[in-house]
Amino acid sequence: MQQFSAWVESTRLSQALFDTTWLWPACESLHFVGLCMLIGGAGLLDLRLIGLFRGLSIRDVKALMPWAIAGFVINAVTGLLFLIMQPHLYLGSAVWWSKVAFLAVAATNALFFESRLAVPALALAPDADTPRPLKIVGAVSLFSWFAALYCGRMLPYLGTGN
Amino acid sequence: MAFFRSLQDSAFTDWFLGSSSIWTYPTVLTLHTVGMAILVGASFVVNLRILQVGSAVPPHRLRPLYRFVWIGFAVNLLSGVVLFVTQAADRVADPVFGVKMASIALALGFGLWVKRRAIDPPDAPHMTDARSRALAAAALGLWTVAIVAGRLMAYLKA
Amino acid sequence: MEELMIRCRHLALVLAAAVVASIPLAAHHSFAMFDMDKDVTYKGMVTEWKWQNPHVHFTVLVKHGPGVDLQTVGTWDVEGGSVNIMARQGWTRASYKAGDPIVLVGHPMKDGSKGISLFYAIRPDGTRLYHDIARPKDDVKKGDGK
Repeated sequence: MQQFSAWVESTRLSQALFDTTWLWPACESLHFVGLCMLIGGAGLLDLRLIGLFRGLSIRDVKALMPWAIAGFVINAVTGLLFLIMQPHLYLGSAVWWSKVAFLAVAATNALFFESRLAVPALALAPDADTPRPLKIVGAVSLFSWFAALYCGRMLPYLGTGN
Repeated sequence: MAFFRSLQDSAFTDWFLGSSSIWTYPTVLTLHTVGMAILVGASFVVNLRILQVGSAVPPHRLRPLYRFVWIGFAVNLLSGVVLFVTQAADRVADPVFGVKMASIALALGFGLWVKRRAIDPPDAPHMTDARSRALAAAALGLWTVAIVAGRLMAYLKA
Repeated sequence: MEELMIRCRHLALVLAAAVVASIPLAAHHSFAMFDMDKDVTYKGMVTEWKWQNPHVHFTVLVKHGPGVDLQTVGTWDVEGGSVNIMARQGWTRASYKAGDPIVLVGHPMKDGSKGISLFYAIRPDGTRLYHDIARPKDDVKKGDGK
């Protein structure tokens, strides 16, 4: 891993990006904005899936999803930039890989919802309580996004190694 | 100024910033990020609706979302005060910190204004009025400024 | 009232501009400014020691003298990592204090200003105190970093 990181950091792309002084802080700011968009949009849907906010139909809440996805895309792009600029901070870190795992769980969970549970969910009445599978999907989603946030923010303190 | 200097140079600061436990500085910092996600996330959703995204949602039904605005704000006020105490003298003299505080105050103020106009009334119309939309747009911009200012503070510290 | 709205939006823009304008100021100690490819050895004395999160900081004074590399002379602002990460590498609050001699290897600022990104310190017994898990690429000696 250390060799791969060293190789990436020796590339012209990596150096040109990292030498652009304002880029790293700008990516950090965008990464925070993106996570607020993501947790705001996906969070409301997740809370509705759990059974809160009854009176809002799932169909109506899903109208916000493009914005949550936009937040996710912003974070995927800025995340990739961090990785290209300073891979050694991440690739050898158990904390970072944990973050990736939580993100993978969140994404898989969302895709599972979309492909298997969305149709009956959309048919629910606005006031209806949600069946257990939806509650689980919502809870897993919320937990995973916040767990990813925790891992990311704690990285400079929990360690860049094992 | 001497008061802020005494906070920054206090035994508490020395212990809090010098502790190698993850439960002190790292945890408070992470709580601040969690609070931001909840506070700005909830504000983001409300402001989006005011700007007519998800216009099928009756605005009044989003009133419970403000519970999360207050929870996020409370978490960040508490964690923020702790962090502030440990850098009090530096922050008080820092214009970027001033921008952050002003942006948050304005964003919250606009959020409350929007709440009263377009969310609180049980018969709040689906089509929000122009003033509410202007307030919501401004609030979104202000939250962004607050986040950017918060990040830049870390770079001015050294 | 509409005028107030327009003024508020202007205020938001002004605040945004103020933040953006402060970015050049903010660049002073950004990580990107260190020449991470250069490992330079500095031998001097600690003049200020700050064992605190989010970054351990200390100032090192390198005096002129016989055999002293001229490029290392001066008062340097050395930046380390978080207290948590450095503690894991063996650093403690008591590792150094103002007045202690120190030998360290670090990466200086690209623009020549007196800042160093800490790589490792060398203790009197020859063992190394690394800032984090990174080790020299061509390091053949084993067992030095505790």
